[in-house]
Amino acid sequence: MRRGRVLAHRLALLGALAAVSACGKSPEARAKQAATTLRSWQATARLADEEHARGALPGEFASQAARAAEQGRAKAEQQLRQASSP
Amino acid sequence: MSKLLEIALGIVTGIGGFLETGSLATSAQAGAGFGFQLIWAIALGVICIAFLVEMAGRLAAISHHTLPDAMRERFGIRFFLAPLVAVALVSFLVLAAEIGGVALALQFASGVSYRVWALPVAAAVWLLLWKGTLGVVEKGASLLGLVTIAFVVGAVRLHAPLADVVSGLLPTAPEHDPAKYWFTAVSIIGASVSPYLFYFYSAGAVEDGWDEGYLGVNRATAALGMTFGGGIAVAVLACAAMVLHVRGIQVDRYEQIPLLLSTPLGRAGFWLFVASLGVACFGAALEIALQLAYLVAQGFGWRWGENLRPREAARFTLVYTLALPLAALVSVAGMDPLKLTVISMALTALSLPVTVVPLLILMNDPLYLGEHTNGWISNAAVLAVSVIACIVALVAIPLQIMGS
Amino acid sequence: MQLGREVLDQQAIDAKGRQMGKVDGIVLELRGDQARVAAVVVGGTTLLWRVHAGLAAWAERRLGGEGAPTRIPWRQVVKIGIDVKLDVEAERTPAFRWERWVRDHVISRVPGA
Repeated sequence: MRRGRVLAHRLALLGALAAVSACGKSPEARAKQAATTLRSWQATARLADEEHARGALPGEFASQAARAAEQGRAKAEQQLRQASSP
Repeated sequence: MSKLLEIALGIVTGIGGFLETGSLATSAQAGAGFGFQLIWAIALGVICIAFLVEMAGRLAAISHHTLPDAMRERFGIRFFLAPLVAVALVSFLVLAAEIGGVALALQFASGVSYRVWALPVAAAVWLLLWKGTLGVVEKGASLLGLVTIAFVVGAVRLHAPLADVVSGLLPTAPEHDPAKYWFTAVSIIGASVSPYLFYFYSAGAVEDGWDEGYLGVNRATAALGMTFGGGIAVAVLACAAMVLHVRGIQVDRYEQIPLLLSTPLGRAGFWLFVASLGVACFGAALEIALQLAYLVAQGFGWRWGENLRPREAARFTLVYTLALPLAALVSVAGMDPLKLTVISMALTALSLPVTVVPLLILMNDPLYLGEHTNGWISNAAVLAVSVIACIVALVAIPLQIMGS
Repeated sequence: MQLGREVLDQQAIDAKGRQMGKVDGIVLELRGDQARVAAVVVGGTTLLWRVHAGLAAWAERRLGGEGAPTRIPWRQVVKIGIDVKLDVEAERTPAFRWERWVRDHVISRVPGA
């Protein structure tokens, strides 16, 4: 029983360490991540448009995908602004 | 029934039943984010689940005990509570994710939000369980689940390079985003090694009255069914690599995943995707809701069985009657289906030692297995995968939460 | 016989072949300096006592007679194998109290039950 508790404490400590190390992410790294996400959403919107244009996606779903891409893009842009102006 | 036919049926069930929201979403994320690099995680998960399913079947055939029965008896109530609670919690989360998956398929088709569909979907699952037509429904779901073969067709159409697929079988360190890489790897393992699969399997084997004569069928079914099923997950990953990775698209929302099939297969591909998502998640939701009821009823000795009328097994019926609407509420509340899925899978991986180690102890006990106890390979393989997955999940989950 | 291994926590089956709970406890009787098995116990708060005494005491106060376990005398234990077969009818014992309650108050109220 006691040994289990010690192990649990150690594991919790390990998790906490991992969490702390993640908090210290540099602004540059954040900006880079946001930029990647932004490009991903732009590419998503382009692909969904093309697919819709050639008839591979029904109009209803194409607009759902476009909305998701728009929301994702807006969020990534905001993150990019936050990262570049601390 | 002839043994060959049973094996064939087992393979069909393996193929039609393997893919659900967990393996679909995690494989798509892996392919989009890292190309073919994470195929090894699918392979590792498949090996582990094949071993576990075989063990659950062997335990049922030799000892005539379901898993919860044997655990309660072997370990007593205090120790049994740990796997009981862990499996119940994880299964509940996965059930919520599967209901979200069906609801999302309906949203893609109709434009009406998944939040509106969640409760009707739960009601449909409940009705089928209540009416007790499960045998038919279950076989029907795995037959319809064969629609997921569309991903293999898609991967072939996209000319996924076989050399890359094969080289992905070898684990390699990531060139970028290590936190995301390891998180995706453990969620893939969690998606493959869902405890509900082998718990459900053991209940089925006991109900069908398996004995020693079924050991061969059991082994073949577990190995072939899971391997073919895993092949579908690899196909999903390959489609994601060919369609999304090359364009620099990472999967952050479920709305991006239908593109995997619409790109190679056109409009038909889109509808095949919607059907795959809907059918696969619906079949999984049926099994998980039922397995939750099995788990609790078998753990406490209540009457259970898919063939009893609800009145004859009142508490058993009550468990799924409560679990289904509660699980649907997670989606009604607006929890993002992709996040819900991926988190459930990572937590499944985290809980693996608690859900798997008691089974391993049973499988090495001659009182239950006689001369059919585990060999060292299956012990080592399952223990290694579950402990490593748990440790990686422990580090990767907080990193992922902080990172996003 | 090893009581802990072969009887405790086994599936209890009634005279009609129905699952009626697990053997949650065993009652020993002291006669002089010899202990012998008097009964097996199914249901009620017995199980809770084995998990957490404080919780069990609380539940017992709250439930009163509702939480009383069912004692089945050892002579009515018919067979011990994969399950423990008991010569009682579950439907008539308190062990089925909650099963009956759920059936009559919840399941039966659903249209079409």
